Amino acid sequence: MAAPRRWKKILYEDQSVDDNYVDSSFLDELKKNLCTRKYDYWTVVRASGVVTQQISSVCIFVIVFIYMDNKILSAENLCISVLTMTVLGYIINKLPVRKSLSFSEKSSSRTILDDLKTLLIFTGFSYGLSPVLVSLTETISTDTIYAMTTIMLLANLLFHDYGATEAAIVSQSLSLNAALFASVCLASRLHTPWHAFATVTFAVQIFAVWPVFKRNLMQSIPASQPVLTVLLGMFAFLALLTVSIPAAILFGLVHLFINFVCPAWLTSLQPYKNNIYGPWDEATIND
Amino acid sequence: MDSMSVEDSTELWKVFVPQCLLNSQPADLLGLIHTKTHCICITASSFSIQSDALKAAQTIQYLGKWHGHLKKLRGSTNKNFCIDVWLDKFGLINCQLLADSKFVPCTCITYEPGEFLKSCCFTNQKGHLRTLIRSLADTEQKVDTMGKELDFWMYGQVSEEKQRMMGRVWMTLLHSLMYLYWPFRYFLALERNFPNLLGKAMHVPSVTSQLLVRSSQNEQVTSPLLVRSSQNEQVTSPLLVRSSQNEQVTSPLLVRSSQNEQVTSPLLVRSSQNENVGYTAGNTGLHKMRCMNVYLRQAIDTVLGILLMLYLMQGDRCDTLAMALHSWAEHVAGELKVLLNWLMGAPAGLKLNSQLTHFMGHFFLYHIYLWKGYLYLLKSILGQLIWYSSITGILGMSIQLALFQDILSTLTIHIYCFYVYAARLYRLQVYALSSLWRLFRGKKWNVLRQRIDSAVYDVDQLFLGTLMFTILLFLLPTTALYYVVFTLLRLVVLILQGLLNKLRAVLNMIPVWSICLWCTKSSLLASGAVFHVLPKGMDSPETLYLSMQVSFYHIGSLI
Repeated sequence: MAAPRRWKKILYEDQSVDDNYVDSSFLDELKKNLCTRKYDYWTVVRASGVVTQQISSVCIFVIVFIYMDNKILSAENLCISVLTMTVLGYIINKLPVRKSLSFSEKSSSRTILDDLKTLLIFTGFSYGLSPVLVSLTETISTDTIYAMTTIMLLANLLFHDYGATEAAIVSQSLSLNAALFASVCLASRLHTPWHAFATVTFAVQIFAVWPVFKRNLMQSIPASQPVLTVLLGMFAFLALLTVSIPAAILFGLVHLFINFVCPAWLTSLQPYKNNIYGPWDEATIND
Repeated sequence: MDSMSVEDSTELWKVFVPQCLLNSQPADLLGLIHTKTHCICITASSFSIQSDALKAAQTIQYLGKWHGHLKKLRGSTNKNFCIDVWLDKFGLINCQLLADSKFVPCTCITYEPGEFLKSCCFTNQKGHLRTLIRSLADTEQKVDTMGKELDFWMYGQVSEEKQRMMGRVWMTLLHSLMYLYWPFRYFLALERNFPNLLGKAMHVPSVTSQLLVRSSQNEQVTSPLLVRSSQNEQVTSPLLVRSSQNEQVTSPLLVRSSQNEQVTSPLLVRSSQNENVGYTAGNTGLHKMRCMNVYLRQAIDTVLGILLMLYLMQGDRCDTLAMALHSWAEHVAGELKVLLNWLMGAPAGLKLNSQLTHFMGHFFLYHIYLWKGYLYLLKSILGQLIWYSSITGILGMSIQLALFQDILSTLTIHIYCFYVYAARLYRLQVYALSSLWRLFRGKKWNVLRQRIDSAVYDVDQLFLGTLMFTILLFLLPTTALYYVVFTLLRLVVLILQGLLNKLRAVLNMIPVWSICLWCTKSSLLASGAVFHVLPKGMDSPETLYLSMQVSFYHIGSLI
C-alpha cells in the first residue's frame, strides 16, 4: 500500500479508493445566496406603483365608458379633452431632456412626420370604421360583451410590461391588442358613431400613447413615479365613488394591498431564501 | 437438365399427366422437366423413340414409360431419372418416380388439355409456343432457334409427315404443352388485379402434402401454386400465383409476366368509353371477347337511345317537357328568394349582423332577378333544344344522358354562382382572421421557414390589426351561415348529377357479352382450376393423385 497521499478530486489516476469517495473537503465549494438582493421596503413600495398605475388606467377607462353610456359625458367633450391632453403630452415629451443627452438622441429616431402619420392613422381609421363598430355587436347580448371586455382587460393587466428585465409571460403586443379589443367591444355598445370614435381614440391614448409618455417621464424624473401613482389612484378612486361605492372600496383595498402589503410580505420572506450554488451548476456565459 | 440432384430437394415433384394418355397404348413418355419448380410435364408419347427431331429438341427429353394396364415392368433406365405410369387392377392410376434408382415422392396431376385450350383466358398471343421455349431456355439465342425448330416441327412437318407416325394422341399431347401455361399465366394476371384469387374447396381427407411453388422477385422466379390443405374439412384453397416482372420464367408451369403484355382483366376492359378495340397485342380469345363486349354494349346503348328518341319525338312531348322544366326552374328561383329573405331576418334564431346580412341578401336577390330574365329567354328555345338533342339517341342513350346532365347544369348555374361567391368570401375572411389572430398574439408567419415566429409590431400596425380582427370576428357568423346554406344547395345539385353519372357509367361499362357467356356457363370463360383428389393407387400409395379441371369465375369478378 502506497503512502497515503492527499486525495484529489480526479478520476484519471488510481487513488486506490472508490470512485465515489470524497474526503473531508466535501461541499467546500458550496456557496449560498450568492446573488440575492436585499430589498428595502420603501423601494419595493415605490416600484410596485407600476402595477397600480396600470390598474388605475383600466379603471379610468371603464369609468369613462360608463359615463358616456349614462350620457353624463358627451362624445365631443371627451374628444376635445383627449386631443388637448395628447398635444400637451406630446410637447412635454418632445422637450429636450435635461439629464442625459444620449437618451434624447436615441429616442429621436421618430421624426415629427412619423408621429403625424401615426396620428392620422389612428384618427382616420377610427373615424372611418366607427359606423361599422357601432352596429357590430347589436345582436349579441350585453352580458357577453361585458364578459369579453373583462377577460380582455384582465389579459391586458396580466401581459403588460411592468419593467422587469426578462419575464417570460410579458407580451407587449398582446396586452395592447387585448385592451383595444376590449375598447371595441365597449364602443359597440354605444349609440352613435361619434361615441364609438371617441371611445376608441381614448383607448388608444390611454393604452398606447400614455405608457410611452410615462416611461419617458420616469427616466427623466425618477421622483415623479410615486406622485403619479398617488395621483392616478386618487383620481380613479374618486371617479369610482361616483359610480358605485363597493367598487371604489374594492379598488382602494386592492391598491393598498398591492402597494403596501405585498412589499412587506416580500421583504419578510427574504431571510428564508436559500439558494445553493456550486461547481455543479450549468455554466453561464457572461460576455 | 442433365444432372438433377434429387437428394437436396425438399419439395415434392409434380408430374402432369394428360388424361388422354390413360387411354392410349403403352408408350414412352417425353416431356419437360424443370428442376427449379420441381415440375415434370409429360407432353408427348411416341411408339418409338427413334425420331431425330424429337432428340433435336433438347428440352423435350425422355421421361419414362407409360405401361397401360400391364403390371409394372421395370423399363430400361439409361438415365438416372425415370417415371413409370400405369393403371393397376382397379383401374386407378399409379405413378412412380425413380431417380438414381431410388424412389422419390411425387404428386401426380391429371388434366384434360382440351378444356384448357378452349377457354379464352388461357390462350395467348400467337407466339405462345415461342413463349414456352423462351421460358425454358436461359438465353435469348436459344429461343429463336429452338422456337423455329419446334414451330416448324410442330406445325410444319409434323402435321403432314409425322402425323402418320405419331398418332392423334401425340399431337394432342404436344399441343397440351402450352396449355399448362395458361392457368398460371392467367392467374398471374388476375393476381395483379385481384390479390385473392378464386378459392375452391378441396376435399382432402387426409393429406398433408403441399404443392408449393415459390416465387421471388429476382431472376429465378417461380410462380407459386399454393394449395393448402387441412385434415378433415373442406377448406378454401386460394391459388396464389405471384410472378416476377422479368422475362425469365423458366418452367412450363410458371407464369411469365412482362410489362408488354397487358393481360389485365381478361374478361373486362376496364377503360373509358374510348377503349382501344383494335388492341392487337392481346391474345386472340380475349381480344375477341373484348370486341364482342364493346359491340354489344354499343348496340344496347343505341337501341335504348333510339327508343327514347322515338318516345320524345311523339307529338309535342318535347314541349311539355320543356314547359315542365321551365316551371321547375322558376319554382326553384322562387324558393331561393324565400330562402334569402329568411336569411336576411333571423334564421333559426341565430343573430346575424343585420347590416351585413341585408347587404348580402340584396346582392343575391339581384342575382336571382337577373337569372329570371335569363330563364325567360331560354323558355322559347328549350323545347326545340330537347327535340334536337334527342336525335343524338342514335349514338346511344349515354349520349342523351350526358346531354341531359349538361342541360341540368345550365339550369342550376345560379346556384353554382352563389356557392362560389359565398365560398370565396368566407375563405377570404377566414384567411384574414387567422393572419390577424397571429398579429393579436404578437406573432407572424415566417414564409421561409414555414413556421410562426414572434414579431415586433409598430403601434399603429397593432391598432389597425386589432380593429380589423374584431370586425372580422364579429362578422364571421353571418358569412359562415351564407356559406353553409349555399354549399348545401350546391351539394344537392351535385348529388343529382352524380346519380346521372353513375347511370351513364353503368351503361358504359357492363360487360354484356361476358355476362351472357357466364350465364350459359360457356367453356370460353373457364378461368380457374380445381383440384380433386383421386383415390390412391394400390401399388404406389405414397403419392398423392390429383385431377385438375377447369372452373368458372364468379360473376362478381367479371365486373
